[in-house]
Amino acid sequence: MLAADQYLMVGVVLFGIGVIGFLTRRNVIVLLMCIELMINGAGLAFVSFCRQTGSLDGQVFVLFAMVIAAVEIAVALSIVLLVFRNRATLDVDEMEVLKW
Amino acid sequence: MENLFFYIAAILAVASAGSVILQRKVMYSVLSLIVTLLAVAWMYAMLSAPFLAVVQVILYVGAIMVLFLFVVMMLKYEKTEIQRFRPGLLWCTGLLVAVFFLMKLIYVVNRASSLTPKVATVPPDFGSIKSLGGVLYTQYLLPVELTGILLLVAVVGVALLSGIKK
Repeated sequence: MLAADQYLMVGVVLFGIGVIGFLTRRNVIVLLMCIELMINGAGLAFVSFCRQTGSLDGQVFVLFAMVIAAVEIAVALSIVLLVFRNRATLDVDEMEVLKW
Repeated sequence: MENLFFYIAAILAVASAGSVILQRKVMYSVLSLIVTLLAVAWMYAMLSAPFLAVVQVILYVGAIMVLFLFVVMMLKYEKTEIQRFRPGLLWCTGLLVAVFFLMKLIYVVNRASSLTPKVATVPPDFGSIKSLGGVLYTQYLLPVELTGILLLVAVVGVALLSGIKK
């Protein structure tokens, strides 16, 4: 069996790529996808720790994380649709109604 | 053999994740993210979590990404952000912070992993529907119920947001 550490590193790198994208991109749909990347990186870390320690708790957490990601994306995308209908933009820099 | 499969999956996952944040068209990002999610499902299957791998394909690729595709195809957003891209001070700071965070994360996780007590093998039905369901409906019964309520709230919220007029 391959050491689960390598899977852990892939998870960390996925999370890091998600953070980089989240802090550098400005399209709100890409930002949501970067959140998905981060959730998946964390999930991969959970599952690989699970395999290392022989406990099932991490897999249960990943299951819950998936459900919550689905809920979050459904709500977030409908908010994106509403914002686009009202302001005709997807750029987070231009969504500044609440700024002041 | 298993090494080979792992490296294919890992390269696929990291390369397509990079493609998600580098593509200038959102549609290409969505399609790259689908590849990433499938590679992650592959790695779940290799880490003795077969049920999670299946759920990842059905729930993420089958539901969430289809939702993304619908929204991207519905919105007519002509200007891409690269056309107006200026790497300002804020952008550089964001990149620096993110890269520093990634380095720190690799260090911390390495340390945590070396401190974790390890078992050599797991039972053959580890991560199957039966064993996972056993934990889910005994030890985690309350969170499961609360998740159901959360889904109900989300359904009501989305129906409200997406404009059912009075």
